[in-house]
Amino acid sequence: MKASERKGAVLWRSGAFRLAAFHAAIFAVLVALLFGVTWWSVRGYVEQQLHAAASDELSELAGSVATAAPGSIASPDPDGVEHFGLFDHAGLRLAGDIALQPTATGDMRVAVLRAGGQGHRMRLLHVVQTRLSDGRQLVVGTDRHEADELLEQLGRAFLIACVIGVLAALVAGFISSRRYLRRVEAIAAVASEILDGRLETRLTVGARNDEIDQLSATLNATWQRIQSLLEGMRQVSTDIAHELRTPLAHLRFRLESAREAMSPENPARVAMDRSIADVDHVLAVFGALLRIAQIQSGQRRAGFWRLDLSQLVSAVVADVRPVVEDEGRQLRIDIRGGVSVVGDPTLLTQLLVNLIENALRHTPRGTALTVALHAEDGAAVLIVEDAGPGIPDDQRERVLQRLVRLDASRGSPGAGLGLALVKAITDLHQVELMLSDANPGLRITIRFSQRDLTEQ
Amino acid sequence: MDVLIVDDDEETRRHVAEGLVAAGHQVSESRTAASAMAQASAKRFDVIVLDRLLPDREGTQVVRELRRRGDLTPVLMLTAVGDVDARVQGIEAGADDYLVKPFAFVELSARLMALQRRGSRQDTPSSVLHVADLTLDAVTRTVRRGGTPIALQPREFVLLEYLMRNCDQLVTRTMLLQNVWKYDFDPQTSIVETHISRLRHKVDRGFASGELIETVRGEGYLLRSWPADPVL
Repeated sequence: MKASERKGAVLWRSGAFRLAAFHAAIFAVLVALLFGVTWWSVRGYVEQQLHAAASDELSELAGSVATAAPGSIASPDPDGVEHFGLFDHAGLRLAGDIALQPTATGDMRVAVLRAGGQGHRMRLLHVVQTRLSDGRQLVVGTDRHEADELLEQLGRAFLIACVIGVLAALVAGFISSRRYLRRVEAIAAVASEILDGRLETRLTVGARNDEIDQLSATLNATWQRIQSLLEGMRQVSTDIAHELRTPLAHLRFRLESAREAMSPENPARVAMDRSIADVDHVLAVFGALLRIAQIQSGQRRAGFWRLDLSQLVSAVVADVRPVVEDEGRQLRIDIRGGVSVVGDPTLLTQLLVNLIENALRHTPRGTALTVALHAEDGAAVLIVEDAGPGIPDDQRERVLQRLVRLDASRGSPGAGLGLALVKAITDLHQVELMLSDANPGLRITIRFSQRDLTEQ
Repeated sequence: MDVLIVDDDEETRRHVAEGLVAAGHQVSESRTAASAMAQASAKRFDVIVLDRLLPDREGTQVVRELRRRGDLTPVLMLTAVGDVDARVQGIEAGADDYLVKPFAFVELSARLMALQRRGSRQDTPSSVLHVADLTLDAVTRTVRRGGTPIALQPREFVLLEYLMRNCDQLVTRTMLLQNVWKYDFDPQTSIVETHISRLRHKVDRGFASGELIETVRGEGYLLRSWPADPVL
């Protein structure tokens, strides 16, 4: 019920419906215009015919009445179209079935005597009159009834045609724009896939080469460009790290040799030690960058197999428990047994260790840290939750990028790459990584709904 | 110890050679896989240090070729920073250990000592280990010191076993991460330090026969078969 309501609302707001409604409205306006013009001209013609008929009758009657005695003038058929009345100069009826002398000409309601002279009825007549040479007044009226019916019939016919036409325009417009907009929806779907990070997704360009095909081709080219730019950016840092590995290695070797050559009392040894520590820091950052790049290249997926995630998580938790406790945090666990996934055990171990390290780094002492694992609809769900300050909504995407740290602390090496590495590992495993608010704290949820991954 | 170092990077070769010679070892050098194969068939080395990327062939192919010839000389594979698959591929090819370049010389020499020791021990590793008055049974998974049973967590047990198998030798933090935890990455947390401290608490505290686990500052750990002064 709710779903259909929602669907209805969506239909109402859909571009296809709006386009169809717009077309139907234009159609309705055109039909109304056509009707107006037709009705106006038909009505003019009808009026003219009525007037002509009445005038002809009047002049004909005027000829015969002038010579005949009032009594000999025949009364017309009371149910017929034509009526007349002959009145003296005082307005008294001398002959005819029009009971009272109308005061003017044109359309008006007039009392017409019934057959046999029993009373009268009111009819809408088109009236013309003329004063005869002897001062009597001759009035002729043509019944408007048939003409009005004709006009009414015409109006009804137009209304029916209009309703059918509008409905047909709505349906046809809806169907045709639906077909068109479905292609737009396909574009939107691909665009949101790309937004989700599947940069290699592209639109299929049809052979028709219409506007949508041209748009698709342009978008594909744009996305290709974005992908290569992003890869280029990624490549630059990887290339730098790669290129500087060897000179840094040499630097470290020489610093170490130089330190070994110094006497233990030489105060420069401290500077040497610090320099070596700095080189090691740079190498750790480069190592993490290169590791991320290598994981992102996807080659590692060949080493996937089905593994017991419950066991892996339990083992990591057992290993980090003393560390977590020594750092003054409570470790809460809720790990269900028998949850398995397809993946690389080493990388998944690093993923969990990184998440726990991240939580330790960003939460105050005394807070709790939760690691939970369960299966939901056949998918493994791993949750690492802390009770620290959390991450603001708008920053959550950012922390998954490389070398992004929200606080300015630049203390430990490799920090700022921890979550980027986590992201690279979840991307490689094609699993969902979600950051949410744990009220307070950060909850990281990893859902293993790996439909595309084949077991190896 | 007779060491063959195979690397096309002269700086690395020189650094390793200088350090090893200063420590009293014999060192032969090779720049290519081909000359390494020739040297290895002409002479029996105690250990071979082999770069993963050589100008003529992959280091992994060299190890495979050595093993195919029946040469079981322990091989330490050198890999570049950030090379994720290095460990798996190196070990699969038949290398005994791997080390990421650049390394502290202490790290290299500790690993070479461990490899040499493993290489010289021809018999199958015994399941019951004795170091000083410490006894570890890998089958029943029990530990006793001077007859007193000691209860250990699974990881503490593996850690103690590794230290005992390499007793009186320096064991670095990275060696422990690789061999005890099977981590090929460096966790930023003090996972090794914490476990050593807990293990020391259980194994060393309160025993009159002295302290067995020693911390070598800035380098690693050592399990002594000749205990230092008792800690009570």
